[in-house]
Amino acid sequence: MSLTTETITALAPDQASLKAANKLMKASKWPSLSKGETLVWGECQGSGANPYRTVFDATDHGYKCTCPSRKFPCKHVLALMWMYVEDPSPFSDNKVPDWVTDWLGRRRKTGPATKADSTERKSLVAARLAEPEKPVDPKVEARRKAAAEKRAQATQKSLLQAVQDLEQWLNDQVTTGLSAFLDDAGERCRTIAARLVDSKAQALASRLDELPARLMHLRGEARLDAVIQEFGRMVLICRAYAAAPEDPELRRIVTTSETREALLDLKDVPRKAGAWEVVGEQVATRRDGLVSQSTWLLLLDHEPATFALLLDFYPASLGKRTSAFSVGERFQAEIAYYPARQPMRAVLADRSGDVPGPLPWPEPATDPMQNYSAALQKAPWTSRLPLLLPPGRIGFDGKEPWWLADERATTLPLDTAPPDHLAGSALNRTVGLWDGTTFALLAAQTEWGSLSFNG
Amino acid sequence: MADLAETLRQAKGRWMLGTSANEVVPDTWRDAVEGDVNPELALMAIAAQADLIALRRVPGGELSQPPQLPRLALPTLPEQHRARFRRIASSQGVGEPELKSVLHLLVARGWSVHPTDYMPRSFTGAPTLYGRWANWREGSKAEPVDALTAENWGNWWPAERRDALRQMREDSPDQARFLIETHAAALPAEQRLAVVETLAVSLGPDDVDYLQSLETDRSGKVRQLALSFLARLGETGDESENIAEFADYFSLGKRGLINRATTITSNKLKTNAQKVRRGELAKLVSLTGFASALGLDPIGLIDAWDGTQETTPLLVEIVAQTGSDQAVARLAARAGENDEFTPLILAPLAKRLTDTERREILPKILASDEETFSATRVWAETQFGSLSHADILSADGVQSLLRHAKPSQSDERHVKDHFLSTGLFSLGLLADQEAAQRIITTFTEAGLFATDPALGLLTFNAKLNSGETP
Repeated sequence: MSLTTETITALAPDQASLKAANKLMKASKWPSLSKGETLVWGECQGSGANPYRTVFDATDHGYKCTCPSRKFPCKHVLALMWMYVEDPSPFSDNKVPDWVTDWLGRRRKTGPATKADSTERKSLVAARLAEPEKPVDPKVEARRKAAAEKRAQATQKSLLQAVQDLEQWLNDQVTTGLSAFLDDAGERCRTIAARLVDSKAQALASRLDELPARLMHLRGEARLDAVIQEFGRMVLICRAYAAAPEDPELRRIVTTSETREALLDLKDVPRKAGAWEVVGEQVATRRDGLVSQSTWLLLLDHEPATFALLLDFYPASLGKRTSAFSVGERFQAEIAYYPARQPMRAVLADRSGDVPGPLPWPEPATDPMQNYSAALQKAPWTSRLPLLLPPGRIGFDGKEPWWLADERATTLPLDTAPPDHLAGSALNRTVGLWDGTTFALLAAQTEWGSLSFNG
Repeated sequence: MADLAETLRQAKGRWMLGTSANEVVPDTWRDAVEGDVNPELALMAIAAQADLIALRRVPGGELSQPPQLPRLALPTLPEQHRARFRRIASSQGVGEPELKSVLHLLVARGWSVHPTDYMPRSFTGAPTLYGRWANWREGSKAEPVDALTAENWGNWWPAERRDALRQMREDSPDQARFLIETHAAALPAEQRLAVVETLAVSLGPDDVDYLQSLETDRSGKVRQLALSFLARLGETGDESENIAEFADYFSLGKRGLINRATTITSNKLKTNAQKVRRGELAKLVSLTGFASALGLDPIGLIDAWDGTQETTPLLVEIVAQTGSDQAVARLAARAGENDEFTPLILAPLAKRLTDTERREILPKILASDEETFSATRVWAETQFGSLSHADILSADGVQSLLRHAKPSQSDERHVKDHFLSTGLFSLGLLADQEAAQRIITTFTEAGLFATDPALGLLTFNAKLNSGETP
């Protein structure tokens, strides 16, 4: 994956880091700049007596800096990358110093976009292939399997108890009145979320933990509607899970997701290869201290409109990690979807290169809302769905923003108003997220080109 | 659907209070949840799905649509330059004034900015090209028409109408004045002022009658502008008292042994009140009156001026406001002659010069400007991107900047960085494409990185080919 200024922008934890990096791109700040075959390193004079040592790998964008910053990557890494991409001439070819070699030895290569060699995957098959000669003690193996099965049974029992507790809690909220719940949503949700965590139902717990914050953004009757919709979805999840606790989609909603490696090892994982465009990125810090990074992809030149969601979580204290995506970026890739009734969440199985030249977005469905209804029929707990809308405009009912189809049959309330100059544009195609109540704009194709509403 | 909405409304009301919605839901729902361990929750799940699928909020009335952002007469920057523009826009020390200067550079190369990269908060000082966006900001939906006439006056966007009037004043000043006479009185004061200002183009004796009629305009600014225009045409009212008092602040003298040339110097003042009064009077006198009070003609006064740093700005203001075109050109030509005539002090004259006159004087201004070239930027506003490397690299200010470019760790580093970033930004505006590249080479050889943010605008300039020139 080549390093570009766009990639560096995407890597930056925030705009302030880029600005700070910008100030470091001066000869006076870098007493030494060097490069090797794939490694680039330098020493940056900071406020301390000794310069900070900064290195990055130009191929996989790994990096290290000795500065005490808690932002990753720090401004020194960003500055070094930017200077190298824009003009490598000040970087002299040098022998890799010991401190770079040390870092190289310690680091563990990662990266979702790199094509994993099948023999390197963390799977039972790969493990057997890698160490075929190691004898397996059948007794030990049997004990291990039995222990694992026991643990799995205990976990399932715990999860079944969790959904039962949750349903009882939901019932308590309804019978004591949602008015009281709305007055005390924060405390009540925190209490049940803690119980769910203890029962290993982490996904459900964080969903409940986030509910009060979501409600805070709504006004009046919309808050009650949101509570009823979310409680309704949770009832369905509880009942569906109790009926089919082995179902991978429901298990993901209740507890945790499969790892990327485990997903790719599965047979019959739905895959989609083609040219994809990043149409939106949403980054949100959750109450549990994790940052969720949602990257929405649209398959180009393909009908019907096909989306995928790449979802990453990482500790907020680490800052933004290697996203390596920028909105509007197009690339060839094979996507592997997590098995689901309405597959959406996915991982990049293989990324093979950039897309040369522009490719059109698909034709929108005549009635895009039909896709939403169909999705709910398959998976009624779906909370939001990306939609591709036909030609339209932004209109206002007083100060409230709406999306309005050119043929005027469809109007959708927007969650936030776009900037004035975007509101004044004809939207040939629009992509956004519909949650059943409001539409969140992600990107649009207009006479001004592709516009991003959130990145 | 109305029934469903009513059912949900009633059910929500029950759930708010903690009572059962069983009585208000349809029979089919009731049957479906019969025997359920938590029938209220089951009803809520059904209600939620019905709400999500079957009901969707609709606007209360007809939606108002903001006017479409109009296309400008020049194409937007190509994709590869937009990222560079955004980087410049996010650089430290680059605010609205600097970005508007970059917009002038873009226009000179035949490009406009993409609205998502930069949308000025105010269009004052932006190129006239952006008049359409200024009108769009004000909510105007008017469509431009082919030629401005008395009949279609009201169909024009204000900013574009002003441009059309300026153009018309160059080709047919009487016709433009006739349109202004006919319609200006009906405009609000601010728009009227802007329209009357267009008379500055090809201002001539035929405009005197109309300008005299504006001496009683209800707007003070319009009255002052009319008096200023009349003064440029030599039509000064009775200013003898002010002139006599103002002239007393100056003395005539002689210099040279053989050709005894006249000089005008400022008298030393004893109190600050005198200084304030002198400043007030400068705003009330005309160049012609001031010159005649000293027994000179306007050009003679400009040639004889040997004032001080303190009083030269007063003369510059008098000439800029009330001097003829010849007087303005004469004073501008003294740029760099001595410490009294720095480009910064003479900057108010810049707007009075034609594009050709500006282009001719720019190398002289650049050569005598300081290392930040901030005065040259004022002089060059309509001529950005036009100076050659020969003009630029020979300027003393550039040599000073080169000294700042040498790597150092001294305590003065931040001061040097400020001069470098401001000076190189100015050069980025002034230089033509080839000059920009040569300046980059010169400064990288002197020790700057090519990625140094101070070189950002020069790099942008060097890579920015001409689009469609207006």
